Amino acid sequence: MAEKVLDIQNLKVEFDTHGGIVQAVRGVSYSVEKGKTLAVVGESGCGKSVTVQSIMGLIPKPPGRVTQGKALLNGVDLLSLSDKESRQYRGRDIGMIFQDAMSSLNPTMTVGEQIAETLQIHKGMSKQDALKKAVNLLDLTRIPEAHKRIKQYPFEFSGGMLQRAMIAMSIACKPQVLIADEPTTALDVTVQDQVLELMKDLQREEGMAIILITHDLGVVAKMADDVAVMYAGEIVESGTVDEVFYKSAHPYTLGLKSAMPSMERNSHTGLVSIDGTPPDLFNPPQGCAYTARCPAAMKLCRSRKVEIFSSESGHRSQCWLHHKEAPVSVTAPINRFSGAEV
Amino acid sequence: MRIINRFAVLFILLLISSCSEQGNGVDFNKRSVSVIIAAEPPTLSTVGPVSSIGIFFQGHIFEGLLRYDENNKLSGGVAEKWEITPEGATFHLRKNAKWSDGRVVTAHDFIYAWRLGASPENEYNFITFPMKNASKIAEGKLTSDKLGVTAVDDFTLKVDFEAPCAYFPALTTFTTYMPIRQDSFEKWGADKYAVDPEKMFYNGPFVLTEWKHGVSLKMTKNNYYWDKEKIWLNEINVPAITDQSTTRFNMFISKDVCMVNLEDSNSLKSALKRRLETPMKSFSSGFISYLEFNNREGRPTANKNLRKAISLVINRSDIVNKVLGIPGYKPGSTMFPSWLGGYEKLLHEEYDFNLPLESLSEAQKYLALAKEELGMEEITLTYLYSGGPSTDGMAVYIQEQLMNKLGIKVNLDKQIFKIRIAKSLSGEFDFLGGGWGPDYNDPMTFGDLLASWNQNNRGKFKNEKYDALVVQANNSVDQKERMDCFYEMHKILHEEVPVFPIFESGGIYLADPRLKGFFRNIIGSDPQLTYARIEEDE
Amino acid sequence: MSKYVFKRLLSGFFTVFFIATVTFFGMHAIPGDPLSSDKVMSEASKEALNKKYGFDKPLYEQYFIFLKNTAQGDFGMSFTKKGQDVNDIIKQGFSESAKLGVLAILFAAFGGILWGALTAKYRNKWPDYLIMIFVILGISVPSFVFASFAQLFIVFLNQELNLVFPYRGDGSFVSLLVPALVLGLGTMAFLTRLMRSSLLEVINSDFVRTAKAKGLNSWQIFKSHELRNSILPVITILGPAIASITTGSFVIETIFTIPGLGKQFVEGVQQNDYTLIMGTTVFYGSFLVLMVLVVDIVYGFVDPRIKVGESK
Repeated sequence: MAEKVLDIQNLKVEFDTHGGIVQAVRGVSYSVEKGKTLAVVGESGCGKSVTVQSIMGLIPKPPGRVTQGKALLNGVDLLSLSDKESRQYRGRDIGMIFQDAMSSLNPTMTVGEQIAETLQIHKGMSKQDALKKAVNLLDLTRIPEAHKRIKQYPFEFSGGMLQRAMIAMSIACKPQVLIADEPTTALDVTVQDQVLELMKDLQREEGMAIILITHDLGVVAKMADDVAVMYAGEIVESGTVDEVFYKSAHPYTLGLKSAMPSMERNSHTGLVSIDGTPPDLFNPPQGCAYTARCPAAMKLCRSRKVEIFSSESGHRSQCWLHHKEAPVSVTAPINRFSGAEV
Repeated sequence: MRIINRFAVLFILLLISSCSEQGNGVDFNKRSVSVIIAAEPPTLSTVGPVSSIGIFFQGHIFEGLLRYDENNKLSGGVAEKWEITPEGATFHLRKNAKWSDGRVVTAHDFIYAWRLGASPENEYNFITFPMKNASKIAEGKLTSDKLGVTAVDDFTLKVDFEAPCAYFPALTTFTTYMPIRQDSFEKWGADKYAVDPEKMFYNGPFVLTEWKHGVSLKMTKNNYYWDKEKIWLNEINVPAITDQSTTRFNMFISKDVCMVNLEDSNSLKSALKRRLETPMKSFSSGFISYLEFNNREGRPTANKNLRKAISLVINRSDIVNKVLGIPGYKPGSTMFPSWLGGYEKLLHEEYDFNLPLESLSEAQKYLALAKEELGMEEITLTYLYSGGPSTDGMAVYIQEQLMNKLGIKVNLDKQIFKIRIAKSLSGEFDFLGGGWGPDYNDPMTFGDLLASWNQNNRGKFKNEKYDALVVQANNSVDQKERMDCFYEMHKILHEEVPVFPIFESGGIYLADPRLKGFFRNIIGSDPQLTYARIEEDE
Repeated sequence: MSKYVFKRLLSGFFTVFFIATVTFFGMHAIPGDPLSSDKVMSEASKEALNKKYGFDKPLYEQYFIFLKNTAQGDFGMSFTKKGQDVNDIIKQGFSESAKLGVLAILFAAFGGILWGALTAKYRNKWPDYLIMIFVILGISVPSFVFASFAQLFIVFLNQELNLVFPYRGDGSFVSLLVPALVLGLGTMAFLTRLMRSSLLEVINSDFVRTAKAKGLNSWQIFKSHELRNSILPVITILGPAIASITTGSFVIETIFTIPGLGKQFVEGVQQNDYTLIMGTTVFYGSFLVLMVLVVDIVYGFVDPRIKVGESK
């Protein structure tokens, strides 16, 4: 097993709101290895962005707060550091790119300056040197006429170009981990491909780990080595991309898959949507959060907190169906584990 | 952080370096005093627009034929001696009176000035009217060289009167009667003469040595002044100009000026609160304030009974004590204020000006009569006034009294000063809040205000008996006869009520206790600091 | 750009021309003139003086004379301040007012930005509440109240502690500090409020999140990302504020005895000093038009998305 660059353990995040406390992340654990890509999938509001934002210190505190858990970056727990200490790692060891590049870049600063800024604060470069390096970075992200482009403002860029610039900015300090929070959602499909290709290439060259947050299973299939499926603030299933895709162990993963358009599936089958809505996170259910929408729900699911079941290969799933005493007659083609409890 | 520290150091250095000496109000060693003025004089030309603030300076830097001496008594100025007859006066000038460049002051300097003073272009030319032909010159019917004043020789000045003028010697202390150097006046022209220290010559006890427009002025002792031995002060400073009474009070508290008027109840209160050791003294501004009724035809106020009714419901002492509450004001029952001199003593000591008023119940009777005569059921009047918060209070008081006691509706028409004057001249009012200050030290300065020919008679009051008394007083040199006339005039005003006097204004002032020998004047420089001296610190 | 500036200057010229014309006729329409005084002049005197100052001419003729002289940059002589050119009065008054005003604007701008930033950073915590109380005071309490209090306070301190801190303008730089602070107070309060709301918007924006993700500390974020994006509305206000503050405040100037333009303007109006009124009005109008133009040009530097002079 390769070394874990970033290892998130049992992370819990809450938000104070007028309606009460929202438990947005409820004990999430996942990790990513050097040179590998972990895709975190789930529908919007499931907590996948909050997880990464909280380890980057980006959630506003208050109202947000991390109540439990660790985020180990090469063994250093980012969450236990002071703000000043953790700033050292941000941007240098962990880079991050966001969904909407246009709004995520400062409209009143040239793109070059914004790339250079990272280098200036982390590498102590002079502005001139940093700007020179920014040209290289834009070259690297395949932006033509980089030396002209660095003097331009974000509004002078197209969406795809901006996302490349954003990538250039986030990899400026050669981070060990690149967190990409829905990097291609706002882009055209063709541009999407180019950006993903770019990320893959850069990963190959620089050997960094990528955490790819997306709700697009197509992107996952293209990019990921490992997948974590999130639902209602929890990881319900995780494993390699093959395991999760072809040996799906959790009813929610199955639901997601059938909600995805596919070339292979017959057109008359159509898309199957998952009925119902995610649970209320002000007051999360005692048992499995997916119970209300799960076609295979049992009595037990409602009342007892689910244990995590794991296969020998590391494929994990949080569903009572994997319990050795669970009934076999379920409608969904659930992949049954051999029954080892974790 | 280092930058902030540097700024702090710089700031403190600046503070220290900027600190001037404390308290220049009076300075025994420099023999200097400082006073504050409310407005900048428009000019120091004695034939320019007349202003009380201009007179303050002119009374120190110029000297007329006569002056008020160290006891504030009329005595010789440029003139050594003088004779007066019903036909005219002769002044004998002293030969050692000099201008600030050493040139001797001659009779011609006076004639030049007085001819300018009588010309139509001098808005104050009425002050020269006692001299023969002056009024015709003012009307442009005669040229100014026809003015009834001649130089017998360089040091003898002969004046011919239009009519006997008992107060003419006192009049020669007025600013328009100051001498003017022809060379200087012609060099700079009427508009630019005397607007800067170098644009005039001085023959008074002081010369103007500094005039930063809008900022400060300074007078210093005139070494060419013939009586300079009597002048102790070296400098009179005017460090600032502001009409903010709080600022002026603060300057006195900080000992930066030697004197301050407490013009509003706030500064009086804060003066009392601070338990200043300086005693408070009162002064009179000489002004009389009154309601003036419009006697023009068609105005309801042309009706005598209406005027009487209104006068009976307005309580002067309530206005002075409860509405205005300005220290130093006193209720005034007459157009002849109490400070005026009579034939021997004060006018008010010789005659009883507090004639009894009819009772309040009579007001209704007069009102009913007035309504009948006017044929009006409802009466609505317009009250024209200007000024600050205190006059607002007075206006509201009058409005309420008239509504509550008489059922008369009053519309308030508040205007800035100049517009009030313009509207009062064109007669756009029913009654107005007016005021009058003296031009010279004789009851006539108030008496002829309501003569039918006087332009300043804004209500167009016309009473033949009154007019006749004005003429009689003008033509007499017998002071007893003249004072009798003025008293008769007062009785007519009391009966006819063309004006209703409200108060005599004045004030409370504080002066540095070390400052001695100054005068608060009604006529002439106020304050008069010519003979002031400072007691040495203990 | 130059074409745009020219166009703006031209329209500004017409604005000022319009203001001057309205003021000129309005001024002559109200009763009274510079020569009217407490005591009435004789008809002959009035005639003589009217002739001297050209008031006997028909109004339109006076208007054209005024236009001609103004075109030559000459506002004539003051009526009430004898022997003084209105040009000189404006020059002197403005130099005093501008000194005070620039200082006041600096106080207001820096204060407004600083307090605004603090309130936004500590939103809904006690520093926010405390500052906002002062802001409401600053906006609602007229400046002469602050001015009187400030002066009284200094005089009191001087007496109690035996200091000689200047309590009024005596020409020194230090003596301008307190008046400038008081003068800038209202604007400062207004800018604080403006800065607060605009900064609150920016603080929650995506690019600030990006800056945080890059590892910038809060000062670096404020300096290079939040400030510039939130300052635009502040600059919008600053233009007219500069024009109104640097051309003087009558109240502050009389209380602190500073011989500025505001005092001249009000005195001119009070005394019906035609030439002074026209001079100060035209000057103030032109200056205002110019400052608004300058602000529009400055926009382009602050926010590159705004291109001055290019139609979208």
